Parts: sequence; structure tokens; C-alpha cells
Amino acid sequence: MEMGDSGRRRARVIVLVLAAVLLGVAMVRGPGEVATPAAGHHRVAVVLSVGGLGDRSFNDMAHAGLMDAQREFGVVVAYGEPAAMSEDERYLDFYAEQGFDLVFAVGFFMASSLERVAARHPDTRFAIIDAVVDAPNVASLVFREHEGSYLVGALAARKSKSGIVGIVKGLDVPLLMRFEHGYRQGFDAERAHLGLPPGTVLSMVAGSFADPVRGKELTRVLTQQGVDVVFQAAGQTGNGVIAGAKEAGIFAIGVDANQNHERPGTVLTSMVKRVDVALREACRALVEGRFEPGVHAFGVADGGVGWALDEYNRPLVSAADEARLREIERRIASGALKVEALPAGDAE
Amino acid sequence: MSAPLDLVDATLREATPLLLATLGGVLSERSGVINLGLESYLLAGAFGAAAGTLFTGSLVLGAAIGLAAALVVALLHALVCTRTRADHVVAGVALNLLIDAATIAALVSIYHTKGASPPLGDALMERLAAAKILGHAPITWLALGAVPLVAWTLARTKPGLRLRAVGENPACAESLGVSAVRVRVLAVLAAGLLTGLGGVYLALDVGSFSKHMAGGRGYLALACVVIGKWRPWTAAGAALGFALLTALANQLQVVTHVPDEIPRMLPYVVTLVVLSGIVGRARPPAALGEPLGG
Repeated sequence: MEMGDSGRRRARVIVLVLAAVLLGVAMVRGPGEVATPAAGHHRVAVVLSVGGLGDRSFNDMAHAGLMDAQREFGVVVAYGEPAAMSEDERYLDFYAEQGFDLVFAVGFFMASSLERVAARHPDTRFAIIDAVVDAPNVASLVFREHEGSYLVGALAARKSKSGIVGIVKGLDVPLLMRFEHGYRQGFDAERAHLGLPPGTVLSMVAGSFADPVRGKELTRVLTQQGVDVVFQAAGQTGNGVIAGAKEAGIFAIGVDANQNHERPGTVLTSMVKRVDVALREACRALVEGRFEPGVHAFGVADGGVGWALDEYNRPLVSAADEARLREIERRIASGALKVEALPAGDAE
Repeated sequence: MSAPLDLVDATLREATPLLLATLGGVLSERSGVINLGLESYLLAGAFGAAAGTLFTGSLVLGAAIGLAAALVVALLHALVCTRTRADHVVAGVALNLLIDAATIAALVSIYHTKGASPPLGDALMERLAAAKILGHAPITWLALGAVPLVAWTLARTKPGLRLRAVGENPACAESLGVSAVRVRVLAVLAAGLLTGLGGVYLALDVGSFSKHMAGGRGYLALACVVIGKWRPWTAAGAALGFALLTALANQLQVVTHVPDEIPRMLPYVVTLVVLSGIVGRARPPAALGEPLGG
């Protein structure tokens, strides 16, 4: 073809232009604009987990906590949404270099990035959610998800007619294992308490936090196995779990945020994990000058995790159910009931 | 319900978006346009269907809006691949990134969230359930019906012959008075219509749109096109095969905990095997990816 050469050149130009545009978009989407600090105000930045805002759970709650802190303590805030995990470190570095007083890393994926960033910026205070980073300037905010999951597992046992309940996890990771293990313990213990024979907990992994169609399909499979209560710990995939439960006429249990309102009558309760509270309280500690590095665990005792009861699921929860769950809450809070985080032999 | 029947049902559900995207891929590629943009058609169709249904309150109108959205994306894709000398692979990948971001931007501007549209109301979900035929969504039956239709069109009709001619030798087709640009644009639009319908299925199945919800099904469909050696029946067979495998893996996961990554990577392993020529000869259309007017 005679025009081959010039054509190839033109194609190359277009490819270059496309690449440049994409690169430009990526650069623009770097760490966001930084508000000029008012004198005397503390400055707090949050680096959100991959997936960003709009997950109706983890990231949205972190953001809500930050907004609370801005309103209540007058801190100057900024947040960033890395487009990929490989960018976490750059975002953390950026906020530290900008002189923020406290920088949050949201999510256990950021632990190794934060380890390096915290060492590079010894004068900046950091906090990480859902992981433990052992450094003198890092506070690790972790949750006893197993305790909250125990509670919803107990409620599942009280509501299940078949004695078979399920859980759909986004990925097979230790963090989500805590949800499953707590759920199993609560379910088993409550069956025993009610004098029922041992039941079954079926567990499935979707392999993605962003595939609701798959979440719905897995819920169908669980339903075919006789499951009549399904707990989701799967992000957007969980939307499909709730939709599948609705279609099959079984109960779903929401996670992280209170999801009771999503499909009233289907969502039995939600295992709430108050990322917003943890973040806000860390900001409070900062402005009151009592910010402490080290591990801070939030559980049932301090309301960091729990089960949600509101007008949307009130018709599904009897007075006896509620009284029993309150009793279990008290026993966990007082330490009389110890919930295992992971099965014996499973290292974190 | 019996287990084998459950498996057939699950296979048909898994297969629906995959079959439609695969057939779209076959039409596009047989006309000479490498189609990496199927994922973006799925996303556009899904977003349009969810937003359209929420806006109009009608499932039919919502589905139509989903198809229209996918057609717009396909038209853009077709123009880039025919009117410019852009590399088809780059164009497809760029389109996927663009539409992925565009659907999120639209979520923010319409629903003020970056994650998912609000769910369709209970009344709409009930109407969807009532519209099922023999336990399946009408789109599932359309997808199955589209297989012989596409195969017949491609093999036995004049437009089908022209499409294949342009895919093999556009210069020769042009010399016979066939506009290669027009044929390729129409083929890509047909791909947009079929694949967009798959996207509509995704959104209506769960009753909402959520970001990235195509979940790689567009890429999997392209793998089916290659494994099926660019032929509609065999490509559809590959799509059904992978749907069966996924359904089987889902059922096995409950009882045995087979790592789900193994069935998930299998399609791509098979694609590599087919491309390497170990099993038979995979001959793509001769002018696949060739810019026009050279």
C-alpha cells in the first residue's frame, strides 16, 4: 500500500495523543487541591482505599467521619482517592510533605506503604484503619469485626428456619475471615442456646468487590442449598447479594454501613463498623493534644462494631430477639463472652 | 428443584451477557474491526438501562435507553476505527477507560455518588420477575435466539457476505462497489446493539448500576470469539462452555472450596492455546485490524 508509511505515522500520532490525554487525566487526578490552612487549625488528610467514594460503606464512612471532624473540631481537611494501590504511597507522601498534622491511611492494603512513609516523615502523625503498623508515629485503628459478626450470626440463627445460613465474601483475605469466623461462632452458639441441633454455615467467595451480578448468582446457589439468611462482606458485589436475597425471599445481612434501608423486609440487620467514629475520635484526640500512637481496637464495648436496629428492620426483629442480642452485647462488652478472631491455627 | 436443572438455569444466566457480547464481537471482527471495546458497550448498556428505568419508570423504555447508550458508544468506536487510522486495540482500550470513567462521572452528576445507582423499586423488580419466560428473563431467550440469527445472516445473506468480504479484503470489496467504511460502521453498530442488550441484562438482573459492573465480561467475550475461531456457532459454544464452567464452579465452591481463580483463568489459558495453534489453526479475518483507505 502506497499510503502505508504516512498512515502508520498518523496512527502513531493518534496513539501518542490518546496516551498523552490519558496521562494528563491521570496527572490531574493526582492528590487534590489543598486548602490553605487557617492559623491555629489542625490539618487532617485522608487517603481512601482503592474503589474510592460511593461504596456506601468503608470509604464513604471514612469520609463521613472526616466531615464530622471538620464540623465539630474545625480541623482543615483534605482527602485523596488513589486510582490504584500502587499510588497509595505517593498520596501518603504528598500529604505528609504538605505538612498535614495527621494523615489517615484507610484500609489494610496500605499497611506496607504506610510503614515506609511513616519512617520517612517521623514528625508527621499517621493513623491506619484496619491494619497494625508498628511505628512511633502511627496509630493503628482496628475493629473487632468478629464481635459484631457474632451478633448478626446469633440473629441469623434465631431467624433461620432451615438451620442453614450463608456468607458471601468479596475476597478470601484474613480480614474477611474475621467476619466469617465471628458469624459462625454466633450462629453455632445461638443454635445451642435455643436447644437446636447444630446447623450449617456455607461460605462463598466472589473474587471481586465490584461484581453485583456475580453476588446475586452466588446467592442463588446458596438459596438452592437451603440457605435462608445470607451475610455479605463484599462491597458492591454485596448489592447483588441483597438483590438475590430479595428475589429468593430470604434474609440478607448488610455490612460496614447500616444497609437496612436498601431493601426493607429483606435486610435483616447490618453488621455496622463505625469507621466514621474511629476517624472522628482520632481527630478529637489530635485537637485535644492527646493523640496516641499504638493499637486502638474498637469493638462491641465501645460501639465501634455492632448490629443495626432501626425503623426499616424493626418489623423483622421480635422483642425476644432484641432482648437476647442486647444480652449477648453486654456479655461481650463485659468480657464474659470471648469471641475468637480467627480459627485456632490461622495466623493473622 | 433438581441439581442438573439448577445447573442449566445457572448456565443460561451466566451465558446471557456473554453470548450477546460474543456475537457482537464476531460481527465486528469478521468485518475487520478488532473489538476490545465490548466492555464499554456493556457498561453503557447497563448504565443506560438503570438510569433510564429510574428516570422513566418503565422497563421497556429503560432498556431502550440502555441500547441507545450502547449504540452511541459503538458509533464513536466505529468512527474512530474507520475514519481515522487509529490502532484498533488502542482505540478499544481507550474507549473502555473512557466509558468506565464516564459512567462514574454520570453517577456523580445524577445520583451524587461514585458507587452505584439507587436500586429499582420493589414494584419494578416484581414486574421484572413477572416478565420471566420459563424462569428466565426475555433477554436470555433473545440471546439464545441471536445465535442462529447471526450465524445465518453472516453465512447466507447479502449483508453477511459483504461483511465477510470487507473483513478479508476491503480493497477487493470496494472494487465491487461495496463501501468498506459503511459495512464496518454497521457491523460495529450491530455489535453495540447486541452487547448493549447484554449490558441491559446486567443492570436489570441486580436492579441497579454499579461502577465497573461489566466485570471483564467484554474481555471474556473476546476470548470466546478467538476460541470460536471467529465463527458464530463455535464462539457461542465457547461462551456457553465458559458459562457452564462458571456455574459448575459456583456450585462446587459451596461444597468443596475449589479456588475460584482456576475456572476464572481457564478461558484465557484456552485462548492462548488456540492462538498458539496447538489445537487446529486459528485464522483471523485477513484484514482484521487493517485500517481502511491504505
